[in-house]
Amino acid sequence: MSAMLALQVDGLSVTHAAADGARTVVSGVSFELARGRILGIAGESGCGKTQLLLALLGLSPPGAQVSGSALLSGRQLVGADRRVLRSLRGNRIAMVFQDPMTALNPYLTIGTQLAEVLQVHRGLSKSQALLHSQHMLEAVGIDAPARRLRQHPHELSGGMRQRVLLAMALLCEPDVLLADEPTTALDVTVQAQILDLLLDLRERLGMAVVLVTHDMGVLAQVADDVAVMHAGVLVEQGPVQQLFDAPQSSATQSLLAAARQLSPTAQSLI
Amino acid sequence: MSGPLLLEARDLAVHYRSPGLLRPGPPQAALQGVSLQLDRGEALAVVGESGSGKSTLARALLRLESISAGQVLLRGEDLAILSNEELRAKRRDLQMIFQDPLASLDPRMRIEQILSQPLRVFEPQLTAAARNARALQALQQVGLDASALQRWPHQFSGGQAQRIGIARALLAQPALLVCDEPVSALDLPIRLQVLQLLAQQREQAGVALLFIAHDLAAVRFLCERTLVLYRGQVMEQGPTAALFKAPLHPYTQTLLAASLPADPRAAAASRARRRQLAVAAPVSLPSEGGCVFAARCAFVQPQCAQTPLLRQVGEVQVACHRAGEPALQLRGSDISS
Repeated sequence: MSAMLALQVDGLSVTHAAADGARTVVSGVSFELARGRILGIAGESGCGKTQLLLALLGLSPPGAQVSGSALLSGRQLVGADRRVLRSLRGNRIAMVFQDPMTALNPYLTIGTQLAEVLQVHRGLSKSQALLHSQHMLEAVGIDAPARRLRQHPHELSGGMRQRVLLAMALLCEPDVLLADEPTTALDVTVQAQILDLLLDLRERLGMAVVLVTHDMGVLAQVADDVAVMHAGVLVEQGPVQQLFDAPQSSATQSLLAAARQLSPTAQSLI
Repeated sequence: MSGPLLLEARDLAVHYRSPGLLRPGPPQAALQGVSLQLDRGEALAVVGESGSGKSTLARALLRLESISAGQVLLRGEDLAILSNEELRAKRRDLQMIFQDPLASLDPRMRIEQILSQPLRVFEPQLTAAARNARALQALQQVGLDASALQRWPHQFSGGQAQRIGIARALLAQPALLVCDEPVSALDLPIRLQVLQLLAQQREQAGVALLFIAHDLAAVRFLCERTLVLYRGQVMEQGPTAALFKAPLHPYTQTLLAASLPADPRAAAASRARRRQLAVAAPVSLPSEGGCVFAARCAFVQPQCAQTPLLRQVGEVQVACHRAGEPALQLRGSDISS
């Protein structure tokens, strides 16, 4: 039932212009994502994971050629007008970045940055937007949310900042949340908290999530389906258990082999 | 083992004074009462979250940080009383590799220059030809070839740069390699390769490792003993296998429960374990004294207002009043099952 799909990507390619000719960084990627599902995209650094997400947001670098199709709840993203994309970004499709420090503006209070999203996309007044933001901070497990709204990013810990970014991404209750290595920069304990939170929010809000990571432990914990990317191509995709039990491609096999040798419960070398 | 230990720290403390021009704040303990022992060829892991004092400990051991109390003994000799000149000679024995492999290589030096630097300092009698031969040999040991010598740091990936950092450290022929989160910036397959390289160097060169990490998986892979730090204090220490199998301290349990198994079947149990260890509402205890972990501990009791001392329970030492009680028993094997 295609009406149920939050995201439907078909033959998406991204080509960057380079001095020595064009370089294809994402090549013919296709996948479907239903509401309330979490798709994990795994792969080594440089495999094109982040470029794929940026293309979905219409944020590919200048000069990049994006072709194929990407439907967000039925609306075409590829080649869409910039104004249309701007109205969708942060609204129907939102992103959480890896580095919570650089993704927030150091000069503005948390409240101003959160409220802006609702003022722009929902046309709320600043006071309404702040009230709504406060509730969202509470929902992502931040204590004393009213006080946090008046604080600046540097006053918060890394885990807290990542929660703020998650709250910001969720303010408009997007159909699709894109998360690019959202917990890689965090302590393991904070990482687990954020992932557990993501699972809770997915249940409560029913949004679809695309989670990019190279950590197979993270995928095992949260993903319903996994797609493995290698050199710009999705080499394998399927339900998480199936992929872990019977990996077909060598890229998946090598990721899993490394993860298992480095598992906290694996046999040690010594 | 005959002779003194390679490295010993006794009741180490480091205090930072918060900056303030007119009214400097009270000194904050970054490290308090930390003792550890490391013998030749051993590998000891120091784990904890950011802010736990792991890096401060490493820096204090190398005397890159001034110590406010306690002693650091290298082969029985107190490092604190050495002159800078004497210390420089000792530094040969204590080499370090860093978290950010590219930031630790000078961008304006070719790899050849980077690698010959420790030889110029520690073996000034070597001719240029001999230095180059040694540099090449070190590169080959870490799995790179001669073509790397004439290249610049930015031409290498993170994993390759970390290999170069390891080669540079090994050229000094140290007795101890202090590794501060050496693989946390690397992709998983590369991470595994670098860990294998460290294990192999340890075996071949007999170099001891002090391995600082927040990633418990890497620790399991490399180190036979583990020390768990929280807010500058030792929570638990002992054989890695024992610690992972049956962590006694609630903090060690929390760290292990947050370490995600690469197995979807284990995900639900892993999540349940974290819920079990989560604190519903932070308990208010007197701000001065008491167990530093109490505010985050699911098993806190009135007695936790008293600072727990490290005590031996089975194979490990643990600083928790309730360690060993049946209510706290969470076996590591449950996490994976």
